[in-house]
Amino acid sequence: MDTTVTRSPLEHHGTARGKLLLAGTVLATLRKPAGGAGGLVVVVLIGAAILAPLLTPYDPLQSSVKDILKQPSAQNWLGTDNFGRDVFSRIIFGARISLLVSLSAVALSCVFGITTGLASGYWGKKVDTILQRGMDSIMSIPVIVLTMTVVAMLGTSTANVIVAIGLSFMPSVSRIVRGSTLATKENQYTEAARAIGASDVRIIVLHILPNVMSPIIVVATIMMGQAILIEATLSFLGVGVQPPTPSWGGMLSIEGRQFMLRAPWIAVFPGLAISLVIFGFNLLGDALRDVLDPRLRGTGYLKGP
Amino acid sequence: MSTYAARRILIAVPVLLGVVSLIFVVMRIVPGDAASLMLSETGGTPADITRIRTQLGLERPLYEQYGLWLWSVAQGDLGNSYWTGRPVVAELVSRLPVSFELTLLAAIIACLIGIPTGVLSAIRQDSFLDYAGRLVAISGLAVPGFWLGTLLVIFPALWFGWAPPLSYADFFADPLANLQQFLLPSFALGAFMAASMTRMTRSAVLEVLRQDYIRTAWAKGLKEQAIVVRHTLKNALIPLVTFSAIQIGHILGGTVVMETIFSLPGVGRLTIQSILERDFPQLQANVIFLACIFVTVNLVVDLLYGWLDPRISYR
Repeated sequence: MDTTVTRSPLEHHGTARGKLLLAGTVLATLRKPAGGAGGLVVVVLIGAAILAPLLTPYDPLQSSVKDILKQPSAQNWLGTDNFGRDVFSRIIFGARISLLVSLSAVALSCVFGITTGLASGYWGKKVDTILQRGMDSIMSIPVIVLTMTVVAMLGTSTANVIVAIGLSFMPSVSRIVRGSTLATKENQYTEAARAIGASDVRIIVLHILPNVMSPIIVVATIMMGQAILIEATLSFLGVGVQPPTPSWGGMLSIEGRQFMLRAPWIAVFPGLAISLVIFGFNLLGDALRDVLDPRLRGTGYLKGP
Repeated sequence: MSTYAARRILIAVPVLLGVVSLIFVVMRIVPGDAASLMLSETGGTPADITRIRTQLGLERPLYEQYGLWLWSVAQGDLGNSYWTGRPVVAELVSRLPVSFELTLLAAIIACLIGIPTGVLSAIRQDSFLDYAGRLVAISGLAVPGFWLGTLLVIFPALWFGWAPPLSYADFFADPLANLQQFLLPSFALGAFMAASMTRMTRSAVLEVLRQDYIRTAWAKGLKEQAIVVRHTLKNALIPLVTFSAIQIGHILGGTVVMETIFSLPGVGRLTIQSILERDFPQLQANVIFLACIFVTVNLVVDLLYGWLDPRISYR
């Protein structure tokens, strides 16, 4: 039986101590070089997405026949594409779609993943078996194939892409939450709460959920990068965000291949943007894990001796 | 050991059942229904729609459709393609060699690059070699496969005027042309897996190097090469085997992208084609097949893991 009484920093949320711990976590993460670099990339991404109209010299949708396939120059920093559209502007506006889709998809997967994981871990037995076998079934289908199929069935729209990606990430979240729940369930303070008559829901929300949030934050950060990758792949294949909406994956699609041979910059820059953003999220996630993990050792997330 | 094996096999059955049911649900969430979706593209009269609905059995109650679906899957009869009219399973099987070769080559490349790099990184921890290796690994994880594939098509053409052979060359008929065709897509596919293998190998080897029996080996005076190869590698590779099984899902998904970019007639390309052409029976068959591969590989790896790791046999 686990006899540790230490609690997750997040269990103090809402209190002054909780806010101090949160600030401490954020600062510790950013102070690490990986965390700082990753955080910078994320901030730039969010900034680009929000401030897009202010940052772009041209309208990303405006085609101009006389400017087709121009090399990067002072007028068009990253050149123009086969419709004469400014590549730089399209990349900045592409950040909007990437951020919107990944944020929504990860949020969706967390909502359903946390719910099913908590239920699975806390009540166990039949509920656990049914839910986890269901999650296993979803995980058995390769992510790209699953998301492609769902989007093809529901229709190619941004909302459906979000639903599809959220669905495919849900099992991973569920598993992690289930593991944390199983570990936290045996803690003494959970037992104590049960002894004084706290209801199941109260125990889950007040005691187990805060302990589960730390690993979820780490995973969610890395999933943001993965979601951007999947959205880009779907757009690349033609089953994601539809043109002319600028999407980084869509800018690399097969239809433009013949133009890429003449103007390689239209292939290089969108891919570079995707790579940088995923890189940033991975670094940030790694740094967050390093910061949160040692503290997690005492909270029962990693099952103690 | 046999109870462990029996339990693992038993778990695989409901998972496969779940996959088949999941596909049943996904194929029917179309707003409107499959028939009108198909005809919305090609155009058709309401009589056409009714005809196709009857053909697909969409007029029957849902539980009856589900029962019929399970029965036909169990028999291996997944219907005929809407486009070619051929049985979908036959079409699928004909595409298997291409995807199999692509997947196999990608896995080999990933191991050849990933494992030595990971081992080197671990035994020279915190050196320049280690940092370089880790940097390359993290970058490899961030690079989208389809971007790498596209660049590998464009730049050889731009710089050297070289392009892979256009039509598929069977390995046994023309090995050289075949390998030329498969080299770049396998590399692009394997790059991501190589990167994660490097990281996994590095942490696995570091973990093993901390063990007491390694310290004993050093104390005995064994050379570094002997310690690494004879004692460390075998133990470090065990978690790597399980890890690779999970990666199979990524690789199978990646075949869709690579076969599209490099125009290879494989299962992945068939899948995306069936989506774009609204060929639902083919799509169903492909998805079930891919899921079965994943479940089988994981099952085999789990059993292999139980056999490789003596600590598991005693459960």
